Amino acid sequence: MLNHKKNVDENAITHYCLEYQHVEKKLAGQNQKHLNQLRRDALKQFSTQGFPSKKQADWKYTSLTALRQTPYFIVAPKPYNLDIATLYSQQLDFWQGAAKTSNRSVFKIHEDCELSGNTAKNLSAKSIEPLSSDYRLVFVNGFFAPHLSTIPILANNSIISNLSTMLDHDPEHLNATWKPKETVEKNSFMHLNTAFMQDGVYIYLAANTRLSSPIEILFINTDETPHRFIPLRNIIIAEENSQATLIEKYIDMTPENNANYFLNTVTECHLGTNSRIDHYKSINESKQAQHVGNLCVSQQENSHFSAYSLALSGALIRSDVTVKLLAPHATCELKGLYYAVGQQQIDHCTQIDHVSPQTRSEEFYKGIIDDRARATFNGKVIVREQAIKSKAQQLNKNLLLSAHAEVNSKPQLEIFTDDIQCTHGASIGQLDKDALFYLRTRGLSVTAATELLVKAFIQDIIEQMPLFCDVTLPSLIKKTYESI
Amino acid sequence: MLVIKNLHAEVDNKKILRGINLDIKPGEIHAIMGPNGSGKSTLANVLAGRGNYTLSQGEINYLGADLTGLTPELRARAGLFLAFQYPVEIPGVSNVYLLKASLNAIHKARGETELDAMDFLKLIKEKLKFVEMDQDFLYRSVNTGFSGGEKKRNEILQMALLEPKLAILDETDSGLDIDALKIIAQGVNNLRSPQRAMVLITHYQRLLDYIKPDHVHILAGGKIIRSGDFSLAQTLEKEGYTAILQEESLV
Repeated sequence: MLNHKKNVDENAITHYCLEYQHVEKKLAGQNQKHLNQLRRDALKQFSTQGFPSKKQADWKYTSLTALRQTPYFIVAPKPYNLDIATLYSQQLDFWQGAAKTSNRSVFKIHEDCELSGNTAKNLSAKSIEPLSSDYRLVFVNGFFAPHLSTIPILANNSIISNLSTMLDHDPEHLNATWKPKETVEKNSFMHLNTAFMQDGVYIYLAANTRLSSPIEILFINTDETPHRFIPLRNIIIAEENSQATLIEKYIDMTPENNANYFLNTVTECHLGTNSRIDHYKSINESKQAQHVGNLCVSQQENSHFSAYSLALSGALIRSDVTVKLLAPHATCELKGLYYAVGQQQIDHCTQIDHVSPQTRSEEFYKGIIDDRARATFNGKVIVREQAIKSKAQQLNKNLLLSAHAEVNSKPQLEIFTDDIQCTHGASIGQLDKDALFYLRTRGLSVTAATELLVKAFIQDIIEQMPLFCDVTLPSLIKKTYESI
Repeated sequence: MLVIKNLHAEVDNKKILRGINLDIKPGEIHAIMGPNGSGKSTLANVLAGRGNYTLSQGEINYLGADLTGLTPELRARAGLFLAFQYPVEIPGVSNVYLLKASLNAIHKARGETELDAMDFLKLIKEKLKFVEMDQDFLYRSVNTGFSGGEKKRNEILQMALLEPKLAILDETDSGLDIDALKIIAQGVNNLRSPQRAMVLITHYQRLLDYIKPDHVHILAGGKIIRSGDFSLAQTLEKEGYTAILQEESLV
């Protein structure tokens, strides 16, 4: 058994090493010597480590069997049939379907607002309309699609672009600003990403640049070719006193929603003094997709970073966030909602490192787990010796809707100083049977009552993620619960 | 309207109801009184369709049909209403939402048109007056943080809105001060009609001073041991349960 596993690991390592030899000459940025070196070093690291094992605490509950056993390949960009109109209409269908679903369901937040006259709760509906941003970058099957993107020229040397364009046309600027070794934590998936990275966004906000419209970044899959490996690298650099909101959306648009691909993404965010980044990520991959995402953040003095995440569809979703609060008064908040159904596995692993004094962090994740699905929340907070007067809050709440669903919630605090405030909490519960009965005696069906209670469960977390709202939860409330 | 014959019910193999017989006609108000643990709340829950009871014997006939096979929501849509002894708190669900969803579920089942937001608001504002409740109640989470009296008034508000054919009020008077009791009683009296029957489950005669029942039953040991008119409640108040239980050789 052990030998078998070892063989599988070695096979996987061999596979990616061979794959690297195959594609090396075609990867982005060939003429960049130091980039080639970076790739080769990363591959070497990966080949010594292999995929993470269950013996590593952060990976104890994450099953990587499919990833180990399936050989995923880099596929060159192919022509695809997607123009802006199709994209618009498909996305529109997507959102309208969502709207219909939520009309059928019980929440109807807008209606309540109408009754109460509370327009503040109207949750900026406009900003989540499809393709409503001034800035949009679209990637199809892992490669930048300029004809689907909208990128106005920015003032003050700020840049919104993509990695492969930068490598080809402005490597000096890229090399001067991009410090991957400083932010990126070392785990095998990041090494794999560094070795193979092809494309992704490059956003450079010069000092004092404040973007009023969010930057929408769509990663769309349209290809049904099985076993594709899609490595994406996003680089976001916010100089002093700059500000922007980014929305990363991962969407599968294949008709059957059944494409088998491995999407490996790393997003690096460097926040300069007094800067602010709001980062949204919504994951709606195909039912067979393996999505392993890493968000690596480093923060300077008085900067603020918010991460809002919505993890819905995908066979495996592993979403990691690492934040380093490097200078005094840096603050971050991480919020997220996950909903796992069928055989899905959705895992979140966060690590917040309070390096400097008076830094603050706040984490709040909620999860719903149904059927035979599994979820994990692994939240580590480190408070270093120098990080006096820092504050850290962490909360994870889970709702199990089935007797076969599984969730593992693990808060971890590593504290090396005294003068700080840290709180953490985790809960796992089921639907309140009394509440369900009460609603049914008022005429609501089991489905309607369950939907209402699920909506009630997620309401507080949804309200804390300003651009995600009711309409963004298409697959959430689709199921029927008449079987209960 | 409701005919119960020789009803036996148990929970976790523990027999609680041991042969209940009851015949309730439209327009009537029945009071069911009894000491703690006599099975009053079990009877209410069994009628509303709570799942964890086993009906081992007997039958329940509601409007000429067997009630026992129906889910709680189908019973509600058929006009049966239970005012809970302990109304459930549901954080995150606004009261107004539940009221509207509930009314429309019942309208839909009856083949009537569902109300839109404006019509609903107009209707619910009228009903609020019934129970002297402020409009703020609508926008708070269902029963969450409500005082005991507010929770009970909220139950009567739901009842006023849903206009049931048969209403079962499970200890609606418990935990109320005299002012709240009067408001509740007034709300209930306003809902009296020749087409509507009500069952008041209570420990005390106090509620019955404000809502005059046509029939009074004493439930003890899972059986109705004595039935009578309002004077039975008065006797009970004077002599206590023990005397009656002794007379029936149950102690």
